[in-house]
This record gives sequence, C-alpha cells and structure tokens, in this order.
Amino acid sequence: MIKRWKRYFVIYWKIQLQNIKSLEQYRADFFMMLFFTTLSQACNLSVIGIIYSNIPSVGGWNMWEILILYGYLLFSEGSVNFFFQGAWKITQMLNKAEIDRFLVRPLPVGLQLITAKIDFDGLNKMFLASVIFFLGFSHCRINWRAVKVLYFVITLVIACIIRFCMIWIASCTSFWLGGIKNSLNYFTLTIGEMAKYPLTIYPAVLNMVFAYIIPYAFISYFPASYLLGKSGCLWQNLMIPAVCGIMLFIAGQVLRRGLRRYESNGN
Amino acid sequence: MNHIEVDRLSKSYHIAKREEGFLGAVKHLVSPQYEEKQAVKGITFSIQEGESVAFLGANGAGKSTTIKMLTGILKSTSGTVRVLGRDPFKERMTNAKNIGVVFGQKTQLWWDIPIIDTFRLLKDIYEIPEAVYRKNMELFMEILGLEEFLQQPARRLSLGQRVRADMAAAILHEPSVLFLDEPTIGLDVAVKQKVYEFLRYINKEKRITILLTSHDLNDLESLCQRLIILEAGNILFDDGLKKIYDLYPKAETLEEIVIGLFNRRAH
Amino acid sequence: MKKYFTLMKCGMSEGIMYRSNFLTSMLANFIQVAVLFFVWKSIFAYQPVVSGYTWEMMRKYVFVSFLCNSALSFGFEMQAADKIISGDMVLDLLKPVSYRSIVFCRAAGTALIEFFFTLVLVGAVYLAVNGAAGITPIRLLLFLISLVLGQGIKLQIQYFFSLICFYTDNAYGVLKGREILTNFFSGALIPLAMFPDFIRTVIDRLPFSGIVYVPCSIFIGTFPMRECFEALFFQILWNVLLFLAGSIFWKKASSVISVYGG
Repeated sequence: MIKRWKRYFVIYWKIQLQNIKSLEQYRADFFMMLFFTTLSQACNLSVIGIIYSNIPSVGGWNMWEILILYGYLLFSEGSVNFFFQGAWKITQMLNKAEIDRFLVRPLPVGLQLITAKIDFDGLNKMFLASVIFFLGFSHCRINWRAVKVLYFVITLVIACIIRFCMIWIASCTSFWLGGIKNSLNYFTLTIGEMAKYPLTIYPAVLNMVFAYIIPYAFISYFPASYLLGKSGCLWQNLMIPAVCGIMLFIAGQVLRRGLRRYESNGN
Repeated sequence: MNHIEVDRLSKSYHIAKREEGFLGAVKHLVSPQYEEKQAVKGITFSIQEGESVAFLGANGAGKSTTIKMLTGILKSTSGTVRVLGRDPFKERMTNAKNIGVVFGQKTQLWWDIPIIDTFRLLKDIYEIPEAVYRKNMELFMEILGLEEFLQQPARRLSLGQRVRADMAAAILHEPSVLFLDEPTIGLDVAVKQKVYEFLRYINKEKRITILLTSHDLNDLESLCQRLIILEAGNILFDDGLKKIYDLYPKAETLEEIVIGLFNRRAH
Repeated sequence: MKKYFTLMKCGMSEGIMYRSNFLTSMLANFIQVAVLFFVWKSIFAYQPVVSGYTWEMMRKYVFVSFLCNSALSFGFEMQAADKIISGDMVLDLLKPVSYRSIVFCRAAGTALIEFFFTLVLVGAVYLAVNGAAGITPIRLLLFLISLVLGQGIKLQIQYFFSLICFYTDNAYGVLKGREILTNFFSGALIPLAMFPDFIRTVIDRLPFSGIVYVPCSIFIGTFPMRECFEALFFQILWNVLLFLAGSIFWKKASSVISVYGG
C-alpha cells in the first residue's frame, strides 16, 4: 500500500517536471501574467491600505494582522494553481472526453486529473504571498517559539489542501451537472473574499457558514488568530487537521462517484 | 487462450427526457423522465491471440460503445467481457498495463513537451525496463520514422506525425492487445501505408492482438483477417475477410455491404 | 441601422440564455460588495464619519456601486476569448459589420437584460434599507445619464482588454486583472474621496472613475450640481477618447490573430 502511494508520489513529480518544461512554450504569457498578477495584488493591497489610512482597526485587527489573513488566502490559491491546476479544468476535460485517455492508463484517474494542467501564475501568487507574510509578521509582535513556527508551516500546508478540496469538489459537480462551463468553482473562489477580513465583522449566521459549510475560516482566520495571540479560537484550531481530513475524504468520494457515473453513462 | 471473450454483452443508456426552457428544467428536477436507448444488444464473440480483427459499422451501430467496454472505459449493463482473462472495468489498472489504445481523434501525448519526453514519462508510468524501452524506441524510429520530429512538442506536429507517435506510445509497454478507434481518419495515403506496415509488423512479429474500428474499407483490406460488422447494436457478420468478398465482390462502399447483409438476414 | 438592432436583440436573447453566467457574475459581484458592506459597517461603528462620509451615505454608495457593476461582467469577455481559442472568431470577422459593432451591440443587448433585472432587485432592496430620502428627480435623471455613460466607458475598456487577449493564451488571467484594476480605480470598492491625494491625482486622469464613482456621487449627492455637469462632460470625453483608442488598437491587433488549430 505504502509502496503504491510512494510510486504515485514519484510519478506526480515526474509529470509535474514535464509540465514545468512546457513553460518554455509559454514564456511571453508568463511575463504577462507576472505583470497582471502583481498589478492585481497591488490593487487589492492598496484597498486594504486605503481603508487603514482612514481608521486604525477593523473588527479589532490592525493592518498588519489583516495581511496575515491575506497571505494564507493568496498562498493557498497560488498553490492550487501551481500544484493542482487540473482541479480547475475538470469540466473542460470532461467535455473533451479526455477522461477516456486517463481510464486506459495504469494510474489513478485522480492523479492524472490533478497533473493535467499547470499554471505558473501560481508561483507568482505564492511568491507575493510570502512577501506579504514577511511584511505582516515583521510588524506584529509574535513570540516565535518553535511550536509557533511549526504551527505556521502546518496550517499553511493544510490551508492549501483544504483550498484544493474545495475547488475539486466544486469542479466535480460537472460529473452530474454537465454543461460547458463550471461556474461553481469560480464562485467558491469568490466567496473566499470574505475570509480576507476577521470573522467577527460578519453576522453570526455567516460565521457559521464560513466555519462549518465552506470552511474558509479554517484556512485563514483560525490559524492567524492563534499566531497573533487572539483569544477565543482554541478548539477550532485543534479542529483544523480534522477539517482537512474530512475535506479530503469528501473530495475522494466525489471523484469516485463522479467516475462511476461517467463510466455508466458515457458522456 | 482467448485474448478477448465477450458473452451476451449489452449496453443501454438512460437518456434524460427533458423539455425545453425553464419550466422543462424544473419539471426534470422534480420528476425526472428517462428513456432507455440500447446501444449494444447482447453480442457474443471471442478473439484469439494474434488475430487482427476489424469492427465495421455505421455511426451509432455500437462500435465505439463496444470498444469502450472492452477497454474498461464504460461499464456494461449486462453480459460479460473478459480481456486476457480479466474484467476490464473491474480491474481497470491491472488491465491497462496489458493493453494499448489509440484514439484516432484524440492524442495520448502530452501537448506541450517534446515527444521524447512523453515516451520517457510513459516509461515511468508503465514501469518499462530500460532495455525494453531502448529496443522499442529503436524499432519505432526505424519503422515509423519518428526521428525527424522526436524533439518537437505534440502541438507542432502534423496529423500524420501525431498519429505515428500515438502508435508508438500505445505499444511502448508491449501490451498483448491493441485497440484502435478510427486510427486512420484524416490521414493521407502515404502515412496510412506506414501505419498499416507498422500494425502488420507488430501483429506478425510480436503477436499483438489487434482490434480496430473504422469506416474505411482500405483499413480492412490492409490489416485484418477477420471482420465483425455491427448494425444497430447487433452483430451482422463475423467471419473472415475473404467471405465478404465472396459475397459482395462488386461492393465499393461499406454501406452497400451492410445493406446487402441486412437484406439477406431479413430473408 | 437595422442590423445593429438585430445584433442587440441577439445580445438580449443571449443575456437570457446565458443567465447562469450572469447569475454567477452577479453573485460574485454581490459577495465582494457584501464583504465591504460588513467591513464598512464595523468601521463606522468605530468612527462615525470617515473622509466626510457617514454610514448612511456609505450604505447608499454600496448599493449603487453594486448596480453600476452588475451588467457587463466577466461573461462576454470570456466568450470573446474562448472564441479566439476555438477559432470561431474568424466567422465573426467575415461578417459585413465591423467586429467592434458586433461586440458592442451584442454586449449592449445583454447588458440591458442584466441591468433591468438588477435594477428591479437592487431598487427594491435599496428602498427597503435606505428609504427614498434624498432622491430628487433631477438628480435621478442625471444619475441615469451618468450610468449609461459609465457603462459606455466600461464596455470600451473591456473591448480594449479583450483585444489584448489576442496576444496571449491566458485570457482568464488578463481579464481577471482587468476586473480587479477596474474595481479599484472606479471606486467600486472604496469611494475615491477616501483615496490619498497622490493616488487621486493619477486616478482623476483615468477613465475608470466614470464607471462607478461618478454616477454614485451624483446619486448620493456628494457632488454639488456644478460638479455633476463637469463629471458628465468628463464621461463623454472619455467615451470619445476610448472609442478612438479602440479603433487604433483594433487595427494593430487584427493583424496578429493567432488562430489555433485543432
């Protein structure tokens, strides 16, 4: 069992390596995206800057603390683009019957779906997110013990995984809904806007939604709260790995059932 | 041993009956109506090692459906199918190691990287030993003339070059059975000849069982000893190639033959 | 003249057909606005006046800003971009109407449907939340004119950017960038009055403010009458400039169409 997963892991990287090679074909695009992404993020950050130039705190968080939230979101978004971009393109692949190609290969379909595409813009986003983290952390008074560093790394990785699962599940609805485009995954991304600000500013109902239905709070708000020493989120923090596990489980189930449907009905 | 065994294989699709417009969509949500379409109606045949068989039939006759069931892409509704003793659907990945598939209109190659890199990836995915890999690569370069475009990415190849590369990719791992779905569509005569030569070679020298679907009588003549004709989900004819020419020596198109057979059966 | 109307009607039925597209864009827009609604709410709970705005004014601003951005969302640019990729665009180029007219008329048709729908929706909620205080008929009229002019600017900017897509494979990235840029510079997220001066000097020379900030300010009343008319003139001027720029860019871009084969 472990040997099998190890093999899949190795193949994942081999395919990704080849994907990275394809960058050569799209060099001009890469620089154009570098420009646009940087510009976009600059705009987003300016919004935050302008808001804070007028008032010192939103929901009790100052500007540098907000940057930590932003960092988690941007980094996880970029990670899906670079490491798991296939998750975004499931609908297109379904429509072009590329799944057939995957079914006749001795590899799990999920693995092939994930590695089907790569978006180098993800690197830009992850890089910018790192800069933002650096800026934010250097202005916050955090007591950086080893535990906190470890916690940061783990929650960041989990944030990426949860993000991936959300997009994956949204994209997989195409197995049932068909259609040429999938709006649900874009929609899921947009909801993430809410996670850029502390949960406390939203009415209780929305808090429930973001914590337990669309778990964005576990991507940014809860981890950041702990790092910044904000009180009141202890047990949610402990739940973070559990949420990650649940999301992965759902994602796997959705794929299995989606494939079953595909194999019964053709397309 | 029989490489392929098919017994009373059937496939029927549930097609949603949906009315136009908004009301139709709501109706469908509330009480969905399905109609059943039988694509394959209980066919039976078996194929021995080293045979090369052509599936002919008009569009909608059930060829593609049958091939999909044989390759494990589609699940049958009833009946059994065994490829190399295994159920291709239930044991998908194990079966995949021993079959090769060429989809005429879709490519197995990675789009943006040089062909040679696709082959290297396939080597890893199929766990092909180095010696076998080298031997086969030499063979392909000789017979299929791959050397001229080995360093090109798939997106830059002409259709003829791409099909040749796809053929090589399908055989690289030395499968026992090769499925080809409309492999010569759109190819010019010269390339077709190369393809036929290659397929004949691997059928004779390597004893690879070949199953192909086609609209093209030329394919049949050049490659196959045996012919299975499908019409509306049933097998209309299953015998040696010679028999067809005995029955219809003057026939120029597939349609003529099929109509002839159909009429014959009706009497 | 008739062909333009036909194209518009085509756009209108597309608007109804692709309503799922529209709904998604509208929802996405709604979420962005909703986020800021709550952000501002918490800010104004802390400090009653920010840069001359009160919570009452800000609430109105948020609603009208949503309305201004509701039509002509992501949808039609992506369609154009997809068409380039699939090669269908060549069909459009062969028609006896200028490519731009095709794009504009269809977009206008779609926009009408989207607008109508949003107007009814937003109008109802607005009145429920804010009441009808402070709306004078003349301001309403000026607002509607300004809104139309603003949409003209938005459409032309989107057209411009859709031409940029001729040069790249990653249309989505370009258009997403355009969306963020426009939202930022147009005042959709924050009224331009709150921007620091050094940014203001740049933004005031750009057309974006005409899309959201100008119509909003006219409606809410933060522009005294004279400024309203100056702003309308500003919008008209930019419509003309963008039209010319679009023509020039088209000449360059049309020769660079990379047609993707199968």
